[in-house]
Amino acid sequence: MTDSECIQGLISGDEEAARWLVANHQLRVYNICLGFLRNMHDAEDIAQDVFVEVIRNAASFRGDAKVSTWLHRIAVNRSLNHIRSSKRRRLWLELNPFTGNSADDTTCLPAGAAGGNDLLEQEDLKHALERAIDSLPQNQRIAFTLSKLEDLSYQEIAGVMNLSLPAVESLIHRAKMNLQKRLKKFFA
Amino acid sequence: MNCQDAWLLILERSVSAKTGSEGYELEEHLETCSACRKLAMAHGAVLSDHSGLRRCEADPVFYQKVDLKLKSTVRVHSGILLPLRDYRAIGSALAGLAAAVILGIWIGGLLTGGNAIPGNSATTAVSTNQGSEITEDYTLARLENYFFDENH
Repeated sequence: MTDSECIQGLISGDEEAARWLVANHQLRVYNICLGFLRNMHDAEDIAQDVFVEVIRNAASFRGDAKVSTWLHRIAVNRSLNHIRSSKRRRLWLELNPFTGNSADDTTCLPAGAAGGNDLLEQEDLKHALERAIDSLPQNQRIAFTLSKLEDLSYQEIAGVMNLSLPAVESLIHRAKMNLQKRLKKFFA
Repeated sequence: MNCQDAWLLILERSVSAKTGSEGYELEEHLETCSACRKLAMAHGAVLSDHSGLRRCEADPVFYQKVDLKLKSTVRVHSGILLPLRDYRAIGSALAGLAAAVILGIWIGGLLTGGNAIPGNSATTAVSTNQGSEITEDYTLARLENYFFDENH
C-alpha cells in the first residue's frame, strides 16, 4: 500500500488502511514519543493519540510530505504539549496546599549529593544531563533528541521540523555547545 | 585532544552508535581526564536507559487500543460522554474559580477593615433605626397630649 492509497483508504473509512498505517509506523512513533517523555506509559498513550489524530484528520493531509514525516511531526508536537501540561499540573500540585507535596521531589538533588557514592553520583550526573537537554531551546531540543535518541537522519529531521538541512546541522551544533555550557559546573 | 573537542565527540554519540567508535584519540583522552570520563559515562547512561525502554517489536494489540480511543473520541464529539480527564479538568477549573472567589472576599474583607459593608452605611442604618424610634415616641406623646390634655 502506498502513502496516497493509505490516505484515500483512511478518508473513506477503510479499516485495512488504518491497520496498515498503525502496523507500519507504530514503532517509530512510540520511540519518538519515548525520546521526549522518558516514560513508557505516557509514550504509549501519546502514540495512540497521534494515530487517532491522523486517522480522524486524514482528509486534511496535503500530500506535500511523506505520511511518516506527518506522523513524526504530530508525535513531536503532542509529546511537547504533554510535557508542558504535565509541568503545569505539577506546578499546580506543588502550589496547592491541600494536595501539594514537595517533599518527594527528587529531581532537585544537587550534583554530588550522593556524598562519594559512585553509583548515586553517576545517577545525579545522568539527571543533570537529562535536565540540561530538557532546558535547551525547543528547536535545539527537538533536533538533538531526534538525532541522538531516535537516530533520525538530518534529512528526516529537516522534514519533520520543516527546516533546511544546514539549519538542522546548525541547531544540533548549537545544542551541543549549549549543553557544554550548561553542564560545565557538573562535570568540571 | 582537548576537552572541548572531546565533549563534542561524546555528545555526538547516538543511541545506535557503539561507545568507543569515535577513535583512539578520544579513548586516550578519556583515560586521562576525569571530567570528560564522567560526561561520557552519564551520556552513555542516558542512551542506555533510553535504549532499554525502546520498543523493537510492534505491539500486536496496539491497533485495538487506537481503535478503542478513536471510538471514545467520536462519542465525545457527539456529546454523549466526556472522558474522565475532561471531568477532572472541569473540576479543577471550578475549584480554582471557587478559590479565587474566596480569596477575593477575604482580600475585600481585609481592605474594608473586616466588614464588607462600609462604616458609614452601618452608622446610617443605626441612626435610621434610632430616628424611627424617636418619631414613634413623638407621635405617642402627641396622642397622649391630645386625649389627656386638660386644656383640650
